[in-house]
Amino acid sequence: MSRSRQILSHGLFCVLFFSIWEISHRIGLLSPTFFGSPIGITQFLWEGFFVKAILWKQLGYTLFGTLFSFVIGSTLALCLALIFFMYPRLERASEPYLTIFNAMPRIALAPLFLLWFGLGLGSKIAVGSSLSFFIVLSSAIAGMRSVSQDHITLSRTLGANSRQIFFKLTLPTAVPTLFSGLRLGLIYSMLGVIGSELIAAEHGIGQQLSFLQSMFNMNGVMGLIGLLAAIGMILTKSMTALEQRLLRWQ
Amino acid sequence: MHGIVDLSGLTVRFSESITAVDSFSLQMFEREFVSIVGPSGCGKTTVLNVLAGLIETYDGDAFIDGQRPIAGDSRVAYMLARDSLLPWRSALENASYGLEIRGIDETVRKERAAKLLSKVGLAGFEDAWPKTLSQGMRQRVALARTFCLESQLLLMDEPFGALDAQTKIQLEDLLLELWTTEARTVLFVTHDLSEAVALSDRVIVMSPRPGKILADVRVDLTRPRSVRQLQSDPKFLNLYGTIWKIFEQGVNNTAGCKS
Repeated sequence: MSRSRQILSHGLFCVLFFSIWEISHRIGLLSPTFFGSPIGITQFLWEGFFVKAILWKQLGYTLFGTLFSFVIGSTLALCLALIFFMYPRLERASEPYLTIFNAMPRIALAPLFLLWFGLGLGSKIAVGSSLSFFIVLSSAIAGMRSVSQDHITLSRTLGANSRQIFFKLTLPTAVPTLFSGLRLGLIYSMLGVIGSELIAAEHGIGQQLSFLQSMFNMNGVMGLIGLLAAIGMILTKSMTALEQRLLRWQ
Repeated sequence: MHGIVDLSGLTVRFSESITAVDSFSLQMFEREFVSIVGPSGCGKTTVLNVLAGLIETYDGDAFIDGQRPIAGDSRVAYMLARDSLLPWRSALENASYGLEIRGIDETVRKERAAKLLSKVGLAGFEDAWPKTLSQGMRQRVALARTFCLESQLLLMDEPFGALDAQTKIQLEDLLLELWTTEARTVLFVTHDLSEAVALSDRVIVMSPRPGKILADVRVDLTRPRSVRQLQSDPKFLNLYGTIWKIFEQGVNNTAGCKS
């Protein structure tokens, strides 16, 4: 009952919001060069996906770049976290360098990566994975550090070896923290890919955005921003669903 | 003749200036229930840690059934103050955790853990996650995990310290019952005098740091005992009074030395 009422009130709000927007646009209150209109945006997306069908390819580039960045960034991060776990001295030694890299706004590396990896997907994946790498690395390290001392003491008195301690204590303890890192890492991958597409690219939603903006096609810009928001939400939601399945004990 | 536990002149130093335990000697025999009481920081837990093999540098001698203590000794089971259940494991998986670490076959350990869970009054809660259990129930699972190991010697470090008075008495009675039916030797650390007297055959009173033995008092109350009923037993109260005096003198003497 309350759930359906919630959906109803959200629906009502959206209808009202978009109607006011559309009407303001029609009577000339909102400039079409700056805001576009809901019907214009819908038309743009409909044509882009179902009439001319040119947006599929662009979306494909962006999504492929995002996924690839995420896989590369988080795999490397997990491997490094594991190495750090085995050799804590190495972790301490590399900490200042990692801190500097992490503090740097990595989107600023995009021009450099463009030069190194070219206009294509390579440079997008480089930026995307450098963003997800650090967030996954720091969450993996924080997760593994949060093992309870009581659990360690108990396991040691039981005669647990370091392999058992890792698989039966460290890993399960780290999973919740690691998961929030992975969820952020996925969003950061998309951020990196879109960001570098905006700077220079041949394909992708970011490149389209920058092109449409230069043409003052506000319906297109708004439509693509909405599309990105929807994709971001779907990615986060599916990660959360996976997390809830794996972490039923929480 | 050696006992299950033989400690003689055990001295543990954490640094040049900090001596945790000073010439501690104790002999325990099979099926004995011995408590160590003392103010916090007096080195009670340190004694347990030596026996559990967690502390390897000490002076004096320590033997368990004639052998040096080592971590992972299957003859020893350690129960900590906090329940330390693994939150991602069900009650049954927690109860069988020790057996799993010790490499016992899955069917055997599940069967044994289920039996112990029902003995501690948790039949039907096998699949419950720790977060859904009350503090008392969680400590029952920890008891099941400890007894599940079928170790000869149980080291218990204030296992009921965090429980409310009612639950504490229930679990103390449960422990006595398990101790009798499973026939184990227990070394029990607590700062609660009444708990020590109610449970034990002997109570060792320790001084504040550096921990020395002030007295080794035999508790000649008949068994089986009911912790609940003991609370109003004159003999129990008498013993409690005697030990309390020793305890108090120890604290005052040390306080006197310092000032």
